[in-house]
Amino acid sequence: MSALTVRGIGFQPLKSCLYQQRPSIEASFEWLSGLIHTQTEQVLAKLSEEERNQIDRHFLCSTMVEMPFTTGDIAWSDVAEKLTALGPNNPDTYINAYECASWGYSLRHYLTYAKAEKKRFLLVSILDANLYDLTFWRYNENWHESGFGITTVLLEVTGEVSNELITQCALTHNSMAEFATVVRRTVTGRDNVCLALPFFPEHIQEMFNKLLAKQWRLPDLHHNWGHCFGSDPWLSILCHSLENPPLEEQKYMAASLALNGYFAMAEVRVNQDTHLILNEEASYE
Amino acid sequence: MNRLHFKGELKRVPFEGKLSAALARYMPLESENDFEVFALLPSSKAPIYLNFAEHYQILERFVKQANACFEGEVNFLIRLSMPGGMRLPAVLLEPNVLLMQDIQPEVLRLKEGVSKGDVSRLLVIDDHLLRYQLEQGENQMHLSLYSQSQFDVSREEACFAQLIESLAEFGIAAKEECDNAI
Repeated sequence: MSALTVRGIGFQPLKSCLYQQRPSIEASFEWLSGLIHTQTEQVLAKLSEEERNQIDRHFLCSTMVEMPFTTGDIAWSDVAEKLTALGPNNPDTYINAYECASWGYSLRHYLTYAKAEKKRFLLVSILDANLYDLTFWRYNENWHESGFGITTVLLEVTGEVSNELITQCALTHNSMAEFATVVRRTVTGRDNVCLALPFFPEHIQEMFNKLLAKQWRLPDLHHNWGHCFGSDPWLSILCHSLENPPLEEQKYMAASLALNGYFAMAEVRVNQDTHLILNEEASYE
Repeated sequence: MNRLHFKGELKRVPFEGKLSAALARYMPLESENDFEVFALLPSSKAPIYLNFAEHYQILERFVKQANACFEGEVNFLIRLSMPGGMRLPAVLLEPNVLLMQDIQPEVLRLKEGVSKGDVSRLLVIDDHLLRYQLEQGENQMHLSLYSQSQFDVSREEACFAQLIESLAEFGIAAKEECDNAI
């Protein structure tokens, strides 16, 4: 039985072209901080006061939001300050070194240090936004169309997490095939676990169609959303659950693969009480 | 809590006399906006002495050596800018390592863990070694070791000194020494 229950998932789609006229990076992050804050509040809306007091921490992850920080255009500490000023449960930790698998490595880090005895809640947000409106991020040969947005997942940790979470790195340079093989091996012997995989264009999906032909998978939504980086498996679970509201508990294996071969998988439970939020696409006004 | 600090700076190419591949890649620029963005981004004036592979080689050796010296009882926080350029060595992806763009908030958390007895030893690598011109920094590498007071100080110091010595082989020397040399 997985010790990770999804209590809420929110997705805020962002337009590929965010601006009429590109503002300063400070203004962009001010706007994004507001969206992250609103989404955090939405995801937490069904928690009782007592449960809110058990929120341990909130990670913000990303794959492609690196240039503002790397070049010194803005410092994470400035963004974190804005987020803190907006509310108590906003993210204060930024993890992007593991690319699309950053959410899984954040979860691993949290579980390494967290105290096992107390019931606790953890928030992980994933932000990918084309802040400089660069052509490369809209479309490229690796995954074709990108999809942008903010995901927030509220996880309840109900016991000791052991084999629910896998963080690993490919050993070969055919990381897609290796990822599919590890996914297959991981779900073998686990009953009724549905796979929520990253979204890829059709020619890459073929790899999953062939290597995971016998596994139960959610449909690839690349044609609807593009490749949304680390958000894909969560968006996949969200869309499926909105279309087919869970009548009973359902187990999913959320899995992400990074371009450099890092991968993360988490077996999670979704049930009738999971709060599901899909917002309208937003752009900077 | 034991605390040890070192402020180092890379002053030369780390692998002297060896060929170094040009591994840094530039994002393809297409639209007018792409060029405009890159023309306005801040860029560093500090020299570039290493590529991604060499950088990871230094970090990999450092982490392996520290793991051996402290018999695996050590957690690492390493500052690392993205994009990563290439796949990271496996040892940097282990559970006792966390890689972050801005390590300061986590340093505070884990230092508190050391003083409370939840974390036995924390080694912070505040690394600003530049791999390409858009990264910010001055090629500095600062180290901090925090360990529980139950550990013998002289042994902590000996391990820390060994680690610093190994960095010197790559041209990372104490900042003061470098300044004196000039």
